[in-house]
Amino acid sequence: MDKLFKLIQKHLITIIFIVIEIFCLYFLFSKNVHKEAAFFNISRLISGKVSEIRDNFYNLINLQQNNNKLAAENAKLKTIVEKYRQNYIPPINDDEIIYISGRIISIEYFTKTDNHLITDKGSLDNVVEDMGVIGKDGVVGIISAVNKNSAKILPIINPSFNLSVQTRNNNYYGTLTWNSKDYKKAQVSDIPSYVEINVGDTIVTSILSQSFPENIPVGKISKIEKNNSANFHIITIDLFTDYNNLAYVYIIKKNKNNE
Amino acid sequence: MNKNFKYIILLFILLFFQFFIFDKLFLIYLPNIYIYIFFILILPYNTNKTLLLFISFLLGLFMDFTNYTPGLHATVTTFIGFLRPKILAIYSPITKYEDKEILGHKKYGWTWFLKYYSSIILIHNSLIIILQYFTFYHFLYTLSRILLSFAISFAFIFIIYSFFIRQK
Repeated sequence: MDKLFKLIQKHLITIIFIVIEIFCLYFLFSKNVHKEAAFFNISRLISGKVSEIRDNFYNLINLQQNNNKLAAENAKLKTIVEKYRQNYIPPINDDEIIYISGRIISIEYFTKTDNHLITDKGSLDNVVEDMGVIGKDGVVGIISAVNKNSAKILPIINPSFNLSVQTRNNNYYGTLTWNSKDYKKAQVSDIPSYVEINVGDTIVTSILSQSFPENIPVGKISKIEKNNSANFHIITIDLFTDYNNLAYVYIIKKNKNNE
Repeated sequence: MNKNFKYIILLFILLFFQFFIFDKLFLIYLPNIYIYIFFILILPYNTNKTLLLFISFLLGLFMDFTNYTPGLHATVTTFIGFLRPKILAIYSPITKYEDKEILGHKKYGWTWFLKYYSSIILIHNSLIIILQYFTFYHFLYTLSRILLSFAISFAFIFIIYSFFIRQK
């Protein structure tokens, strides 16, 4: 007994080290949605206020630029609305779609692969998990965790992101993923190789997606590779959304009209 | 007492710069720059090893909570805290370590400085990047990221070091 006690005393530091490391590695490698959401909530509780001060400061620097961008987007949307108003046909059975505007308060590209964004709208503004998020140019991501007044967005540029997409011209469905290399490019798989597609075609969200309405632009095809063994195209697309320059987003709330 | 105060001030300055500038400034063009590890490097030689381990763990935990990376920094920083006494023993200078001296070039020379600082910073940066990707699929890409991250972090830590040793 005495020997054992001495042995423990001798290796106390190593034992403490191993216990801490097991605890940390467990957190690092167990991918659990609920645990991640809990961690997000604790993080916001601890560093939320200070982060807000920091992010407001950085937003202030870009204020003029952001204002100009929003004004330009407004003008563009006004033109489109005017065009539609002149020949408006009421939709037959459309889901009601509401856009909630949100500001990006924090862009967390720290880990480069496990990227995420944080927006200032949370459960108080009726944001729930799995809602789609779009920017002024196209799809940004999907809400992955919700707090009282902030929410975490899983962007396209995250390895665990996937979304059902299709080409705009012919309705063949593919899956959008990211290979964690270039934040301006993403990959589309599962489009059969007999389908004719060209470089420059636009990829849009498909009707199969639960989070997005259909036909929201995602990106433009920049490279097509033929894979001889599997009968699918390997497609690389240029994303429309510029993640390095993102200030305002729209969270999509889809109300299903069940008749 | 005075000496402890100096280290506490250093900790706050490091965390301030890490949180307000380095976590935010180089959004996506560059790999991340971690200067907070300097605090573990510079702590006096006679720091209690258990205390060192807990300081490293808490520092890592702080980084995890501000960066929303569950477990990543805590794992790596605790490892560095455990490794530090062993690395110091490996690079032991001819004259022995003295408790009162700052772990720097003045007493132990530039070669020692380069060996000690660069090895710990390199281990820290490589572990963080490898644990994130957790694959050697993009081997060259990962390697270039590690080297770039190491070079920039080392440069900034060197600047902070030169400011720190000037304070008396």
